[in-house]
Amino acid sequence: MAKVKITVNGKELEVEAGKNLVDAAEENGFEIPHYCYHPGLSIAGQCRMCYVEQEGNPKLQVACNMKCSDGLKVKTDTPKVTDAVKWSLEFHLINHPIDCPICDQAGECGLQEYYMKHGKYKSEMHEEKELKPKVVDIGDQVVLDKERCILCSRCVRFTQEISKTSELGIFSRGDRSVIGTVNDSPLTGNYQTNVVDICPVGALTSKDFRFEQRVWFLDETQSICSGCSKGCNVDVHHKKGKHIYRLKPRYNEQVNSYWMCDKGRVTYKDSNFDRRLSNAKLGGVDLPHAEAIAAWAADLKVLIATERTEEIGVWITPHQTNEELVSIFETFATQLKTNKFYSESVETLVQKDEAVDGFLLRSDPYPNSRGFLKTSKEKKIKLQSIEDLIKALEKETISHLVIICPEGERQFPHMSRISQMVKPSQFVVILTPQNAAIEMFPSALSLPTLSHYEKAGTMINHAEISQSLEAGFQMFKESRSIQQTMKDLLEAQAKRAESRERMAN
Amino acid sequence: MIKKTHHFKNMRAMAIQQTPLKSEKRILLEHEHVPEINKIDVYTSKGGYSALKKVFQNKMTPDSVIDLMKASGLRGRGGAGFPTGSKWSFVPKGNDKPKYLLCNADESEPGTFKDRVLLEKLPHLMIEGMIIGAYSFGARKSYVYIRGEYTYAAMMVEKAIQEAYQVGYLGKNILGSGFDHDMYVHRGAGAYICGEETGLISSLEGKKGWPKLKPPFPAVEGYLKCPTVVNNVETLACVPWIINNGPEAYAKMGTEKSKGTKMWSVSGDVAQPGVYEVELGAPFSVLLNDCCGGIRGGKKLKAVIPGGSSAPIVTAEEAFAMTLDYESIASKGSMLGSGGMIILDESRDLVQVLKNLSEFYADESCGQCTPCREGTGWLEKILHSFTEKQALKTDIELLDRISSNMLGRTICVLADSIAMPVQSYLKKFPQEFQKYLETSSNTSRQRRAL
Repeated sequence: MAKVKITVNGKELEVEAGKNLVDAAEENGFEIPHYCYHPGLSIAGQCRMCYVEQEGNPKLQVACNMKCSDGLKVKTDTPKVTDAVKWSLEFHLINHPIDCPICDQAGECGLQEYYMKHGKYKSEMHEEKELKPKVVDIGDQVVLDKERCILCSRCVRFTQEISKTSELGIFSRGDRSVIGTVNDSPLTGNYQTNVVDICPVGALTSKDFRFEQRVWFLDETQSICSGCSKGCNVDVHHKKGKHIYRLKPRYNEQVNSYWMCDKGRVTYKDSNFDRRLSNAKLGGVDLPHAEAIAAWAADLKVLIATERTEEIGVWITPHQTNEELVSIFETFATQLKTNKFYSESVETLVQKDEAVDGFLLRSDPYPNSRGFLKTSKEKKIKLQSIEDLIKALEKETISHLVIICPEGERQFPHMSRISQMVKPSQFVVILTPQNAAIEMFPSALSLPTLSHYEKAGTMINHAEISQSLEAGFQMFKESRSIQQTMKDLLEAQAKRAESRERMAN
Repeated sequence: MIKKTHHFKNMRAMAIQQTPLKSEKRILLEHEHVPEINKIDVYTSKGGYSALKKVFQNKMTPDSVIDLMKASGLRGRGGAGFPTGSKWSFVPKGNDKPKYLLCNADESEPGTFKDRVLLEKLPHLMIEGMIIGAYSFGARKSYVYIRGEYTYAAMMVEKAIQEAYQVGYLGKNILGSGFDHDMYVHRGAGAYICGEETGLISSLEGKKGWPKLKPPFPAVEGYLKCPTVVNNVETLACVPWIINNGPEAYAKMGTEKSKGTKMWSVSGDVAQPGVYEVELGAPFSVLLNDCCGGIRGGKKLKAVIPGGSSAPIVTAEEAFAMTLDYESIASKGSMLGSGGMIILDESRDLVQVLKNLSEFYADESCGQCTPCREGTGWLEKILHSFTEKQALKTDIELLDRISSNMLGRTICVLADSIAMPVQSYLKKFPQEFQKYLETSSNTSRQRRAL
């Protein structure tokens, strides 16, 4: 991209030619307030907040409609500009209900933010405000408050330009204008909650997040959505690492831009406590993690001592990070020398992977299928199918089955099939963050692992882009990462071997 | 109610028949009194379509048509007064995209009804002008966007277009020139804002009539993102005369910067409201006294709104001192605008007038830009407080400050259309507002203010 020189407030900047002035200024530390402008949407120019003074032009200009060209000179801090912004904000507020104490947006509201910076403070509005409908249900995901709306039209443009569902529009005229849907029909499609993200005020709120938590109590951790092979970049909003409240899309030009789907947004629920395995269990009884590892190592000891480690079978799913997969393969294939690895037919999923709705959501439901195939190939692991596993269990060529991370409902049918085939003589270990699958194996040894949004590592998305997940928190003291669990197991195993040697001596 | 009926009767009288007055200078309305002039054969018998023939038979180039317009000094008659020839020349040449000519017949400015006479009686004058205009910048299609309430006018234009098709002035290969042109009527659905150039384009595209952010300008990216020219009915109706009589003859009329004639629709407290065509630069008294028969009921003039309701008001003294042209009216702090003149006699309460206007603009604001959407409603509410005798002392100054923060801050000029009048009424007739303040009890409002 060609570079041009522009001048903002007397400071010369080198920016990309044709870049929007709002973005160019912001990147260089000059904030230009705006509501209707959104880099992912077309230019509306209607909130009238982003005024700048352009050299040689007596009239104030809106920065959102200016492209950077060589020699462009603007000022964002003249009295004329600050006064105009002040008044524009006042116009935004005169009919706004100012119901911040009961508004879900409080704390991340554009009006609050700019009021502190650009507010007129002493309002001169002594007339009665326009009253409009509140708590309007507009679909499965979103609630609309027409009074709080500042009519920036971002949501309207989103449904027209991005989701292409065109449900939203602005109805009526003047200060009676309202956002709405045609004939009060609900929003449709899998991308509804994006309008909540881009709404700069509390007009559009998410049903899922509404009244759950004040946003200033939330911390953010960067991660990748676990919903499908797209790998949308997300921010995980959680409270002190104890509870996740929502996911918000994080901008990535190559993957998801500013958006994510509604299906992906609820994947955080699998991480929260009501679905989690909080303690290691053996036969349904809680036991400390170290004892659970010891019990596992004890069973392995027998297999090692009798040189029957090829009787270890491992069921594995592409929910893991590449690093986790490496540690699993190294532990079981390299150290314990088994070659019985089973999984769903990931190859088929990858081959048939396609965009389901023409936008983000893809048919492959796993976030790391490519990484799974790549790592197994690198480690020379031959993957067998569920049918092979069933046969092996039937023939009892497997006496020790390790099931790794079945997350979500998709794994239930497989788990159910496997549980029906398992005989009492076969030892089953389940490594999982969730409690759902455990109930099918009442006598198994289960060890809690980290859930998707607690993990650190890398995953490879459908377009072969390797993306990293950031570990920000650990919700349960007893849960361990897979790598840690593998390490603990091998250590316990080595200890046992050592003590055995000592005893033999 | 009685007053309204009275006005209505006068309007009808205007619409039926009007023989030219001596003080008028009729070039557009020359044959307006001829019975059935709306029909193509009558129009042609009075020299109609001779300009079109002249252009095509003399094989005038498009550029030479534009040059003629530039030389004539014709300025847009819709309100902004932009030179027509320049407007046509802005359309990029050698562009693959189709080009469009849109005729703005969405005459909805309060006080303005001059285009209605042309649409109803002289539709062929406008059509002839449109074909020539379209030829000058290569538009194959044109639309006449007619105000929704103008049912009769739309019917007349529709008929006239059909007649023009029948004789080959529209359609393929017009008069053997190789130039094709199609013309359509599109009726508005009743929004003031659709008379704004880009609001009209949005409406024609099938969208909500929201004005568009500029740049890009319509000449580059207008209707369906193609080069587009939007001209007022009266502007286009001037074109045939200029072609027939030459730009010099046109430029000879009027003043240095305001050439030709102007149609004025006069309403309010005059004996004979109606549409009159006078030379630009004529004294105001000619229009008021000679054409309109002076103030009705022998009363005194109080104020004049010269160019449609959005034009700032001028006092009686200023009015008598001004001549009817762009520069002189501007020198009195107002504008010629659309030529919709509203005459107010001494009995008129200007606060009520302004409240009435503010209601109109608050209702008609499209709601797109925040200062206009919220500001028009705010002004209306404050003015309502005045007439309800609940105004606060600070309200006069507040009205002025709200207006100045709406002026020039929006995509289109609707905000200016009420902000400018508010400022002018406050400046020129402060005593009227003061009178209301003195009688205001304002207890309930003050309580709210506290």
